[in-house]
Amino acid sequence: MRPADTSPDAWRQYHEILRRMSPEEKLQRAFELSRLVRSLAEAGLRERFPQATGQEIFLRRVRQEWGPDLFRRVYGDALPDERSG
Amino acid sequence: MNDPVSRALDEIQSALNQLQVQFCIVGSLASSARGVPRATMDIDLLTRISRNQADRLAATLGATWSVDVQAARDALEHGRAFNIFNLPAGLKFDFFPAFDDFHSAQLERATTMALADGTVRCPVASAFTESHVDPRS
Repeated sequence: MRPADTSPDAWRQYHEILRRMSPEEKLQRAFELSRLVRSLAEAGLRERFPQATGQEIFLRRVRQEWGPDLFRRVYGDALPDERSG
Repeated sequence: MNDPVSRALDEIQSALNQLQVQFCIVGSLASSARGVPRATMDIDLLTRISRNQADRLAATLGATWSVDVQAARDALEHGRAFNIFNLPAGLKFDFFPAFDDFHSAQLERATTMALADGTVRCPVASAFTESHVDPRS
């Protein structure tokens, strides 16, 4: 379904681009988009926690993604600070 | 292979091959390959996995993975999905048990594609619907 922020013409052009991509290229694009989303989430966390190590930022991003209960079940008390994010 | 997502995919594929579990990638990654690419934060696998194979999955994968064997056994007994986690990548894999003809067709018709940083290749479902989600869960 066409997103509200995309004109019919732009949507048609976008589908034309997608049509020229192989399934493997589109799959790669999905991985790239996912990586971008994760890196943006970590950039936001680095702003909020400028003193945090790279590992702590990674763990905070995972906790943000999974929620505190699932995070605790998998990583235990790797992040003793229970503030969200 | 420096990308943690690629390493996780490589490890899980090796483990499933070792246990002789037939699998393919489904869900939003598979639909990205066939339709419009979109970001996803976890990886859905359609698997023909028995409770016995699920028991051995944790040992086969090793210490960098978190597998709740009892939860997996319970889920399989009721035909439901279960989750396992790769710790270094912070990545969740959702295991959907194959239980009908459509799932069998998805497994049979999956095609192998390069994933993540391109260093690992896995089977990806070529027919996709949301029906891999267990309607009973």
